[in-house]
Amino acid sequence: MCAENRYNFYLIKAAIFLAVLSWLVIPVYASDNVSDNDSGSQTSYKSLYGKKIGVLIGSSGDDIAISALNAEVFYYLDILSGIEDVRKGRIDGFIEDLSVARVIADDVANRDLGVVVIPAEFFKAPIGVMSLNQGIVDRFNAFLEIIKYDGILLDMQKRWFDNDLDTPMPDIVLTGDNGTLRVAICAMSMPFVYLGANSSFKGYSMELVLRFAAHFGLKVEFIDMDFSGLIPYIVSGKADLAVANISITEERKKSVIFTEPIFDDLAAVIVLKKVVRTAENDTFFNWLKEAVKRNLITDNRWQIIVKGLFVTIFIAVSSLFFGTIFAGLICCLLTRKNRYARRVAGLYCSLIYGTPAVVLLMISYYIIFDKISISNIAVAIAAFTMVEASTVAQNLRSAIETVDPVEIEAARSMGFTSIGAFLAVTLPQAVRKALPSYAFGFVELVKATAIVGFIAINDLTRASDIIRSRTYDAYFPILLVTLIYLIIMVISVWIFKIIAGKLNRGRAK
Amino acid sequence: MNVISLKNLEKRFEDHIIFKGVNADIERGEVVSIIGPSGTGKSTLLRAVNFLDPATGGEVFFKGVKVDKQNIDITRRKMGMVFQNFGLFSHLDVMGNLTVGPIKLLKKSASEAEAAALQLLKLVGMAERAHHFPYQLSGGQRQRVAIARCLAMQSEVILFDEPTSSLDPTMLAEVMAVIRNLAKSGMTMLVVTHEMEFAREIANRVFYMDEQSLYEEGSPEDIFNNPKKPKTQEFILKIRSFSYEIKNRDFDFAEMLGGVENFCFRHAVDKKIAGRLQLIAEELVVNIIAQHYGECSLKVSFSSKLGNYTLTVGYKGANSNILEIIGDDLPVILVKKSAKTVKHEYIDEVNIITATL
Repeated sequence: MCAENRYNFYLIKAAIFLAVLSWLVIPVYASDNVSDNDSGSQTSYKSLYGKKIGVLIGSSGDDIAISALNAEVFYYLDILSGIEDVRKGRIDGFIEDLSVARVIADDVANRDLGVVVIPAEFFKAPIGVMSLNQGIVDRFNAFLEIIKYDGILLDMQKRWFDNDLDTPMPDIVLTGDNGTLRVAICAMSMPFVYLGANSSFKGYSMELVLRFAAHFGLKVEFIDMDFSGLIPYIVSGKADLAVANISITEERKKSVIFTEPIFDDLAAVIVLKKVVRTAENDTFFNWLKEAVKRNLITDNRWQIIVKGLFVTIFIAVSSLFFGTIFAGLICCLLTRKNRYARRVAGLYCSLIYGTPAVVLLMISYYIIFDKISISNIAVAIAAFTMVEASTVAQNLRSAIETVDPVEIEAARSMGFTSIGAFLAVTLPQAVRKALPSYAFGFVELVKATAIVGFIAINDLTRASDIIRSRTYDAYFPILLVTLIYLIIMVISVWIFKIIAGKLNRGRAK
Repeated sequence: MNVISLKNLEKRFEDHIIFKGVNADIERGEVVSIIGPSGTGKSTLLRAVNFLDPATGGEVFFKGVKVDKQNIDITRRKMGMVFQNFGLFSHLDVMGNLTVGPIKLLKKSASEAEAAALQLLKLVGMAERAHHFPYQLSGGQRQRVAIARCLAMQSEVILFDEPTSSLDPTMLAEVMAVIRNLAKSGMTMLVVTHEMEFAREIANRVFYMDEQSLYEEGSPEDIFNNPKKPKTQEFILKIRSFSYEIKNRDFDFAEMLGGVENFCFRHAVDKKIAGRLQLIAEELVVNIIAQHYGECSLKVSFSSKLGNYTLTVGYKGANSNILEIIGDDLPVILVKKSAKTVKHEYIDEVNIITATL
């Protein structure tokens, strides 16, 4: 067993080395391919007629692509992969909201991209604010009328939509005490809501909400989450308002109430303008230097990663701790002679085993802990404790079953009580046998926590998403967190290896 | 004083009775060997005594006190058990195996327990390997450690459940020597074993188990030299035998002869005698009786007490000694020359020809 363990560790080390190597090489290789592709600049949307156009799944992009461009449509899960395919020439353009498209094209990393506007006759996207409270919506609409009238709204639109993302956020002081407004945001919606320097939120919608709050003397509490989390958040009453670049659609109106449009967006196609490439950019180290600067140093973005790392580790270690205790109880039931106790515990294990972790997380958040006010991180820990408990319990149970019954009889025949024999003979052996799977279970757990972004927790994975959405860098943030996950794995395996080494002396077979 | 008393002990699994009506008193210092054919409940009796498989009827007394579920854990401290499969704790080294009980149950200090353990390891010749783990030891060494572990608990009685059955023949001696010394030292012991010579040598008293009970008991002299009851006689005198049923003339004679050869080989029968047994079996069964009668049965047996081999062939029909009817044909001459004596009997309408060597 010892030898086999060692073998496993070497195998893992080798796999990590290969994985890191290959991932570091891909972007360099991939960017080399781009330089040959020059499709020239396209000025009119008509030049895209009948071409291959990418759209975001679930957006209205495919309607526009067909009605305005009669295009062949390709569906993407996120903007960044669409843009990468534009660069590689797999598609000729990618449809996005004009406001977003501009932000992307203006970024220093995207000097090779251009924006082709689709005329308003084909598409107009009114952006609104969501709520479930008619009173708040009425007040917001009234407020909107006022600032439209005195010109503040137009000024805001000029500042946010005609400049780059470094536009400063005006200082708006909230002094009121008429209660707190809970606002769900998705801080990946440039230029509506996004992260500025030192992880502070800024943007057009942000300013609008703050002005609204100031006007009515409210305090504001922001909850940042994925875009897909906004509507469930509003519907379940966990927030009063949701802002991002949310288009007002008939579909959404069925579940929430929209304010009057705060902005009328158009659609645009992101296309490859022309290759801007200098010789110095070609080396790997320049790419790395540039990427580190943009993704980590600018606006102190590294802090997002560090905070995310701590959140991930905290959730994983806490879940392991509570999960192990809980697993002990379940295992106790699983090894009972009482058939019903075994069935209840077995049912729990198969139920948890058969449920995707993300579903379990959602159920915990929106159903089990819906009415109890505990932090989102505590909800995540509770969900992963349930997951970890079922796997550890099963693992421990099968380890207990491998202990030679003669040894237990021998202990009993010496005068150990059944509990005494369990503690002196069964448990020490079972723990040794269960330890390798326990260690790898922890690694699995760390990776599984990557889904906590769904309930508005900024863990390591979500930290990379936030940075990616801000810098439009497809590779570096992902590579970085992958590397961090690998390092967490190597360190935790190494710690467990030391523990195993201390315990493992004298294992038969 | 009786250390262990069994009163009308009974064990059954649902409707199946393993043993019933077992009564016995074992005095301090007595060594009792429990022998008998497989499946007669020898091990089950031992396991009923220390409640690993509690009896379904009757009572066990330890030093005059009735043993029950409440006091069994305390009683077991004084009543060690040595298992066929050793049962050493695989996560502990030899020293750990010997000290875990005294430290956790008898509340001895670690140093005290270790000093005592070392003395016992010297006694069983395992002091050198105090820090080896069970998987590093041979079967014989493991069993010696298991015995020392019982002694470490300062047991007053040790129950041996076939202590040599899973050992290589080369390791038998070392374990037997340890048990023998223990017997001499006055330890009270109950030993279930299949090693008859060993059972005879160490015991003051022998229990023979059969017919769902304690069938016969007595001194080793009584049981091994003058067994009174038929089952005991059968067991003691003809422990080893081989039987083969012949259904018709075209039977698989190669299989039968192979069986005889295998029997001789297994019991290390002298080559000359083995050759003769095979010759008689071939001539008597294959060439004579099977040819004339078709259906018959063969039994080859060895009596350890009498030291002789007998080959018996039974065939149905009228009372007739086929050897006399055939007369001086070659097969008959070969059979008569190979055997010491050949005799014919007619019992319950079955002709029996017995050849003795």
